[in-house]
Amino acid sequence: MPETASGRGFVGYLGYAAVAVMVAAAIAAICLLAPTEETMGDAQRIVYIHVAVAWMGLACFIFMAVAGGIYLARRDLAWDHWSRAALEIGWLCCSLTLITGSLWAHAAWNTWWTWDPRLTTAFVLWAMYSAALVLRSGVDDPHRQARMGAIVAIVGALDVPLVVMATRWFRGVHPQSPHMEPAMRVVLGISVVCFTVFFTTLLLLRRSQLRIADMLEDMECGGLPPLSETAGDFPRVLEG
Amino acid sequence: MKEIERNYPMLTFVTAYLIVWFAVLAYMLRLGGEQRRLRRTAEALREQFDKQRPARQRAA
Repeated sequence: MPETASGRGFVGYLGYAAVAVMVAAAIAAICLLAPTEETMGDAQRIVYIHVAVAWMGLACFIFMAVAGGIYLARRDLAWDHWSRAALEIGWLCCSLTLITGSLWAHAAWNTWWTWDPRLTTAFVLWAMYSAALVLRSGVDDPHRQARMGAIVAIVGALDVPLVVMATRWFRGVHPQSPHMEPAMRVVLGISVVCFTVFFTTLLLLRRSQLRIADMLEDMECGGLPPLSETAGDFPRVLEG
Repeated sequence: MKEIERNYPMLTFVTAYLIVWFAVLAYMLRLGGEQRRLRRTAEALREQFDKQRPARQRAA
């Protein structure tokens, strides 16, 4: 099988198949293995994906801040590619956290939203993600985009410990650490691991696309690379 | 109406999962579109590269 634009071959496709199997296994575990909760019934199963996407939303923000910090220190756009990929995946996960949380809240508390400390800090995190996306989209220069993204990420990262500790530091209605049966904890673990692998795969793919897009743009604007740099061949990483 | 009330937890669960998967699917479709765009650009550049190769080799 030929290599693709991001340098994947047969092993890469096998990796994607493994990720798909993991996600299918997680969904099967959530639907079939997890016992039905007595009070909330099937609506409680939302927790398994809510926790997984919430964790990814937080992890992506930390990753984005670290990559942004390294960009500011080195001014190397390669770090901004990581930061931007984490921004997109993190925004998606954070939005899904709020939506699934809202659906769970309606089933549990009979309200779609309440200004509980955990919910409020999570909403602030989502607003930070959105601000980074909007600010970046308004600027053409890639280095200015990277600087703005890095600053928002570093400032916004201060909110991450607040989201994590909100249920301990402040009084609210969000469950601190819900009591679960052992089977439920196993399914939650499977779900978190599988979805982490899935979203990390998407992050790696997006980062690879951003790197290649940057290289292609350089070649389009600055002309083709000299033969001495390419050893007479078209750069392999850019082959379709 | 009673039937809907009885199935409410299941409907909530299914709605949440459908929203998650449609959102993820939409993002993956966007990635697929971007991948196709990059491939087209790379192919165009490759053609240009191959066309210019003899002249560039002579110049080198």
